[in-house]
Formats: sequence, C-alpha cells, structure tokens
Amino acid sequence: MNEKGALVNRFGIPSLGIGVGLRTAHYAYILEQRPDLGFFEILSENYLETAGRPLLFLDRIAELYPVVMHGVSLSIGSTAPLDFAYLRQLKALRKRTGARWISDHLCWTGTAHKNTHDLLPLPYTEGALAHTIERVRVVQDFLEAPLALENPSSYAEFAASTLSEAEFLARLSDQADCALLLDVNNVYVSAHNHGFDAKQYIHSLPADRVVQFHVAGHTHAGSHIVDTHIGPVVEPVWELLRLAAAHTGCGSALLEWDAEIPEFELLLREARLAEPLLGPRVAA
Amino acid sequence: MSDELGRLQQWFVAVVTDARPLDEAARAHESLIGGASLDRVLLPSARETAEERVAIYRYAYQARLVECLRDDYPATLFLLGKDEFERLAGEYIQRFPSRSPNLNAFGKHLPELLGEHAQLGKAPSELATLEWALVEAIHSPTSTTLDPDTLRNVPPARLGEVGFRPHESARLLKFTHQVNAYAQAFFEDAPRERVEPGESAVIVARLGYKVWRLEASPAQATVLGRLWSGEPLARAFADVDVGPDEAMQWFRMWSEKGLFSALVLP
Repeated sequence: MNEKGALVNRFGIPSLGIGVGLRTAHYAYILEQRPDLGFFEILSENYLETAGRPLLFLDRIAELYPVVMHGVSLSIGSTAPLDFAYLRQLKALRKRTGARWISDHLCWTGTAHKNTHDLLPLPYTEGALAHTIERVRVVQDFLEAPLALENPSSYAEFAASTLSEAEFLARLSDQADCALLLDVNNVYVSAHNHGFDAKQYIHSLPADRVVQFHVAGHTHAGSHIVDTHIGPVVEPVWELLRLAAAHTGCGSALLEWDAEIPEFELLLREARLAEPLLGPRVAA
Repeated sequence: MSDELGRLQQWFVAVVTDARPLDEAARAHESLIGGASLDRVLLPSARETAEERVAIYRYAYQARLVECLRDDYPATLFLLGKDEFERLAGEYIQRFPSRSPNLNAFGKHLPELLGEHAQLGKAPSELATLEWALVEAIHSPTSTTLDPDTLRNVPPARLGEVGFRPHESARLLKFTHQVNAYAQAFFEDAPRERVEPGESAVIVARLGYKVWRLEASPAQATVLGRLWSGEPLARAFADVDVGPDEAMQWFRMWSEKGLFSALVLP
C-alpha cells in the first residue's frame, strides 16, 4: 500500500527490491561471487541479433536472478511503422529470460530509414497522444507482457506542445493501460533543462501504474544537464526517489551506471542506498 | 495528425543527422516543416536558444556512433590516431547510417571504407578486418565443437576421406601486413607505431566465452583453407610439405581451439 492507501500497482507486478543494469564488465564477477541483489535489468538490444557470447552469459545469470528487460529501440512515438521483427525478437528474449516485464521510453528514435539510437522528444500534443496510445495497445497485445514506459530525459521542447510531459504520460498510461517506469534522475534532469517542478511532476503521475524506478548520476554541462549515467546519484535525486516511493509504494529500484563503470562492489553499495527509501520487497 | 507528426519527425532527424553546420542543415530541411525556421518549431529554455538545444542532439548522434566504432576498432583507432579516426568515422556515419534497432553490426563496413582511402595504405583496412572478425566471433552462434579425439575413431584406411565442417565463429584471414602482431602488441599495452608489411594469415574463432586469434603459417593457411572449403584430409595436405606427426599436431591444436564443428565422412 502507498501513502494514500492505494494498491501498490494495478498490474500485480511484485516488488523486486534493488537492481542494477547488467553490464559486460561485471559478467565474470556476478557468476563467481553471486552478489545478493533483487534483480538485473538487461538492455534488450544487447541480446538481439546475436547468437553468441552475450547470450551465454545472460542464460546463466537469468537462472540465478530475476531479470527485467529495458529497451531503447521500441520507438513508440515514431510515425514509422512498428518494427514487428524487432518485437518478435523482444518476445523471444522475454521467453528465454523469463523477464518480469519489458520497458522502454516515451520517445522515438528515428525514421524508417535512419535510427539515431537516441531517445528523441515528442511534441506533447493531442495528436501525438492518440498516435502513441494506439501503438502502445498494439505492442502490448503483441508482446503479451506488461509494458512499462519510462519518462525520458530531454533537451528540447516543441512549440506545438499543448500538454505537459507528466500529463501526457498519465493519459497515455491510463488510455493504453500500460505501466510506468519512473526515472527520477530523468525528472531531475528535464526539470532543470525545461524549468518545471520535479516534485509536482512526480505527484501528477498515476501512482498505481509505476512498477519500477531508475536512479542514476548525471553531468552538468553549463547551460543544461545531461543524463550520462555517470558517477554516484546526487542527494536531490535520492530525495525525488524518496518522494516517488512514498507516492507510489513501488518497491523496485534500479541504479543505472553506464559511463566509467565502477567495480561491482561499488555499484552495489551505491544501489543499496535506495533500499531504505522503498516499500517492502516481495519475493518474485 | 500522424502526417504532421511524421513531417516533424523527418525534419528533426534530418537536422540532427546532417553533418553540415546547423544553420545550413536547418535551411536545407525547412521545406519539411512548411518553410518554418527552427526557432518557430523548438522552444528556447531560460539558458539556451532553440538552436543550442537541437545542437545537443546533433552532438549526441555523432558521439554515440563514433563511440560504437571506437569500441569495435580500438587498435585501428590507435593506428590512425584520434583525429583521423574520428574524421573517417564521421564519413562512415553519413555513408552507413544505422537502420537496425541495435548497434551490433553498425561498424561492419568500416574495413571497406578504409580500403577505399588509398592514401591510407592497406594496413588500416586489414587491421579493421581483423578487429571486425573478433566482433563477429563474439556474436556467432555457440554451436558444438569437434572433440579432438574423434579422429581416433576413423579407420586408418579412411582417414584421407575425412572432411571437417568449420565452426560458425571461425574465420581465416589473409593479409599483406602483419596485422595480428600489431593487434597483439596493442592488446598487451605495448603498441607499435606502424604495421609491418609482409604477408600473414590469421585464424579467428570463439570457443565458449573465449575469442582466439591464431597466426597461421602459409602451409597451415593452405591446409585450413582447403579443409574449410570442403576438401577431404588427403587433398587438403596434398603438395604441402608436412610430416604426419606435425599434421596431427596442427589438427589437435585447431580442434582444441574450436575451429571445427563436425567431422564429415562421405
């Protein structure tokens, strides 16, 4: 239950506790030391279009830990046709790993002929909302799995936008009946870049749709902040996690650390700082 | 709405991925948004203009893909030097933009592009070919490898008829330069300034988690090339000056390194 007495999430998705992103540099350590950890989040694309070594490691790790899949190429807001070959691969990967849920971002990544491999911002308009709702429905039906969409970090805003990002996400998740992955570092980054209130943003999201949190480090670049996933999490981001956990009751939090990746022990120590901020852990 | 959103997205991608200066790129693509200027489409922030904000995405696009090439080609990067590598990477990104949901195969054509730059000589392209073979070995299927003792089960009279199916990860590469020696020195943190000329052959394969690079002598390269093209043992060793003991030694080493997936008897 959260502070408002609502169900933790409406999907019956269990809290997995503390997780970290699975990275190549840590494969050997994880298999040898088997650290105590709630779950690993895999970057789905790293295990697609490969039949080799990455899957060898993944298979072993998925036998030992709960896994969730996090993607960057769903391109849910794109006007390019949905890539069903990619979706088929996602579905197969979920079957292979037993991933508890699949997540990606509220963004688009390119056109039919060019993938930027970036999480590009959407104009938050009624038209874009209707377009994205329809695609989320199709994707969820196809994947036959809970889909969680993450609030992106962004560096530009469209003049055409008529909705706030939080409003867009709330309506999207409600009308498409999908889950949310709340990245509190992204809220912090975008709030700084666009000048909105981070706490208000979090309170605007439907609490019972949040199934996972992300926390991460970031980089100040003078006029803006970049979501670099580098270094430790700063105190204001932990504060947002505290707020988000109280608002939603969600008990799954993941630390993303993708630049200058540290030794696993340090990564784990940093991730565990989230533990006292979360709700109770429920066995997966 | 989808059409309007589609045009907006085409414009954004065109501006973000266009290597020309931003003002030029923005002008070149403004017809996609009805001739509007960039600052009519994107909002400024309290600290940045609309142009500065889209420049963040332009920088990130290049940086991400250059980083991917750097990861796949660390020795080639060292050989060419950072500036030259990044200049060529920029050209590569324009010529071979990613169309795939992932970046596993993004760098595939770099050896080809380097080969087109005659002024670089053959060494960078050959070194990149070796590095790409290592990437391919990582992602190749994990299939079974031939047990080195399997050959003992073949009746001696039929040994000459035996053929060997290459493992899916295995490659035999022939070069005009000593690229493996250069790569070896680089990976051992003792990099060399140049790649020495001289013919060489390198075998690349993956056995379980481990990716191997093996130098092959001209005779070994001949035999292995023949075996992998389907020739049986007798024909593979024909006119190659090697005794039976040495041949067995080669075969055992290659089997132990996982170069074969199966033995074939007609």
